[in-house]
Amino acid sequence: MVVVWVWAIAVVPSDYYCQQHGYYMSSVVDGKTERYPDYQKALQNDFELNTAITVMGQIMADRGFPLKLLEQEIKTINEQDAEDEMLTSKSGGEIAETPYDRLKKKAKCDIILQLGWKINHFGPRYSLTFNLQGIDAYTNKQIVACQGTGEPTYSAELPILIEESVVNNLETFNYQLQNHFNDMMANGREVSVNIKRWDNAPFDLETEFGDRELGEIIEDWMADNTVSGRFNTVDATENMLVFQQVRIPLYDERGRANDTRRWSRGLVNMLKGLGITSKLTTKGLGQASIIIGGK
Amino acid sequence: MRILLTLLLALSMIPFNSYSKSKEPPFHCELEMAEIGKAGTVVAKLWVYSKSKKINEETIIKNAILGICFNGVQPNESRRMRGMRPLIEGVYEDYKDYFENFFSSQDYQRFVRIGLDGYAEQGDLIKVKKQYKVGRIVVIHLSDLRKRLEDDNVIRSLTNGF
Repeated sequence: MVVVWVWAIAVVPSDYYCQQHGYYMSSVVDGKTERYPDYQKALQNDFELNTAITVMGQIMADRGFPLKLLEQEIKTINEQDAEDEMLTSKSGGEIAETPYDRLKKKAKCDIILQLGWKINHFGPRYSLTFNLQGIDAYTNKQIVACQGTGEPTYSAELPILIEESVVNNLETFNYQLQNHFNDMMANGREVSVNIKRWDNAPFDLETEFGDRELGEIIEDWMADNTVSGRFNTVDATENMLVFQQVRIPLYDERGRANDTRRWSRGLVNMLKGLGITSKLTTKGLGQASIIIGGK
Repeated sequence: MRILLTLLLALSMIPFNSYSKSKEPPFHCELEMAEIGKAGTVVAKLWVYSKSKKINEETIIKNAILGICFNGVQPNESRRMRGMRPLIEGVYEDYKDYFENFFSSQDYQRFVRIGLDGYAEQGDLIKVKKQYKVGRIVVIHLSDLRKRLEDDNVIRSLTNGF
């Protein structure tokens, strides 16, 4: 049975837009004030933003990609926040996440579209400069982008200009998105994997199992289980291995949609076969950490 | 003399019309953004190259469809209205059979509406060497056309393969 991958795309106002319009929340981290976009405040107060998201939603739905409704996702996240407030780590720390991190992780979006615009004035005329970036939630890389300035006008209302900008730019945007999907279908999804070691483990990555070092065994598994053996070993010591640009297949051997955690579980199971216990954690959607030598 | 007459008779039997038709391209047009239309539509200026000053509605619609499929749409003069890439990556000859079948039914007419009721604006008729360049505003229902091409497996949809 093949499970169809259902892409999740969410539209959020860009950081610049939120900062310019006062839609942000502040917190003090290590004595420094940090500002994070407040999406809920933006949605509740900005009619033009809602207009833009609605038009984008209409166009993307026509292409078979209904957008995740940001407003509904935020409500769900707020409900879950109450549970998270009860959680603390063994050392008394709390979960530290920005609204953007929570949206990526809890809404399980594959792609986040950051939307923003600016009004340009020259004399009695004005125009709109529109900017749209698509970020891969797994790698935080920009995968699609478009921006442009519309025709100057004397009298058009702002929602009309925004709607025209969305319509004007979305074809180019979807073309880039199609190229990204073509690349993923051909070459797999890009993630990163870190292998670490508990300091009380009786072995390290240079310990031999059979006639090969553990690090080599792990690299061989990576080569066998990535698409076309594609990955980069950016760091290798006796205590850690850092793999980046790892291309995992979109579906596993049973036809189920693959994510970083499910795919990395395969490596954990392989290590278990060698008698090595390990702990699997993920950060965001695209990074897995496997700590060997215990749970 | 008899040989010359025989030769002239033989030459007159050659169907010149069909020869010239086979050399005539199926479409020869350019599309340029005219306005930003509603979501799912493209409002463009269609320029059709024709030997005649007057072109019929059927020619306009067919050129608009084939133009957006294989030539795309150019940005407007100020370049503030983005153009569009061709819907189909390839040449017309590879899809000739499909489009001959496509145009054989009248269904194709629903994908294009001729703007201004076909009225020609000033500057819409330009003499180019031995041809005329005839301009018309057209509204192409891009979403519907794309959906039709996806359903007929001519192009891939965004969700194809997932």
